[in-house]
Amino acid sequence: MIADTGLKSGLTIILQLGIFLSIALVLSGGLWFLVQHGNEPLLHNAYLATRYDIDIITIWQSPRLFSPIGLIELGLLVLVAAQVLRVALLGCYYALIRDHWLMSFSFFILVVILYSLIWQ
Amino acid sequence: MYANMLFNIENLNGIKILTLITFAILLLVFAFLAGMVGSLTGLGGGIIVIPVLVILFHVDIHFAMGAALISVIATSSGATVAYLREGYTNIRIGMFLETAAVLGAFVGALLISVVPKNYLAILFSIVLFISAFLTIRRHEELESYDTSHPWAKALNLDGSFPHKGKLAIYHVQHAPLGLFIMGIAGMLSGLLGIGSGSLKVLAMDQALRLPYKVATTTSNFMIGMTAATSAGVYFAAGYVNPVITFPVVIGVFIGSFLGARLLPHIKIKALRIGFSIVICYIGLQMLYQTLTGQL
Repeated sequence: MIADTGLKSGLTIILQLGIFLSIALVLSGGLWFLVQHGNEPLLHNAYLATRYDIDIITIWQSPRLFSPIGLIELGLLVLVAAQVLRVALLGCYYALIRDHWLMSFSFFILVVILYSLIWQ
Repeated sequence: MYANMLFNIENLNGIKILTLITFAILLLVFAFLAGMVGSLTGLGGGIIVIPVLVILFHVDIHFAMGAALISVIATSSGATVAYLREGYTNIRIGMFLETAAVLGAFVGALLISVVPKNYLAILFSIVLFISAFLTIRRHEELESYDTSHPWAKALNLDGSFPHKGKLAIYHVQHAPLGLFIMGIAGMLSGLLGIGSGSLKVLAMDQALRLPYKVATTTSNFMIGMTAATSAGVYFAAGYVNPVITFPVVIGVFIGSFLGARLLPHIKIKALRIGFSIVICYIGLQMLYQTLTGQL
């Protein structure tokens, strides 16, 4: 029961931190973007017509990271990363209490999410 | 120009020249309202924000789905935090069913680049009708069973929840059927960029026979993981446009947060019925515009 409470606390911390950080990054990037481009007419704006291939692996090396769009992208990735972390935490928890079925389910979910994130 | 295909400025209530800042504020306001109503009715913000973006702002349906999918992760995370504290969420059932949901979500997300956009719009309209129907016929009375499905026994899925000042025990039924429906819910989530909350609740309520509050909170717990799976494919396909997504995520998140606060003070049944009618109207509008080639 104590372990279960600890698990719930861990999940709560991961999700709360994830949302807080993500919203802060998305909001900062969004405001920065509007300060720079807010007065541009929508009809001729190239930003809205662009497909942004957000690549998890290369975003860290990209100079785009230090731009309004890069900050928004990072915020969106943090939101997804929080989901990965919470599944990893659940997997580790079930491994610790030797619940093999739930541990297998958790790691299976983790593998599918991670595979989808590196999928091209 | 591609921007002309994305946003039909002439149709936007007579506003001829729209700046990016006006567009962002309008998106924020509509996303806020969608998030609040979605939270109050239990439909979720994503399913409302997509038709708003497509019909009103003439946003490309792929970009609308990408923005909605990310907002679903934000709202699900916020709701999960609140529900974990209340003690209704059954994490074991959530993880068991999520195995099918993530697989379905990955397959569904892969299908979006193959399925024509007008088919996606038609499928979305159908999902709107089904969601409206499920919202109206929702029943919340507690059913009790003495035995559990063998899988539920083996996986220790049965649980308890706070009910009338005591802990009420529930036994899980029809686990394979629940897993199957969850796979379909995951596929629809990936294919349409929604949380598929209505279908997830249906699987747990009608197949697993879980108490309604346990079903809704466990569904919320799962939605973020399902949406994160689809998000990877959406990112790679370029369907998450940060400029469209940022006002939507912030608006839906704040709206759903306030909606959850307002929930105890509002007559939900009347709201649900009224809103289901609006959802059906939006579905019809989307269907009509797709079939007449306006989308």
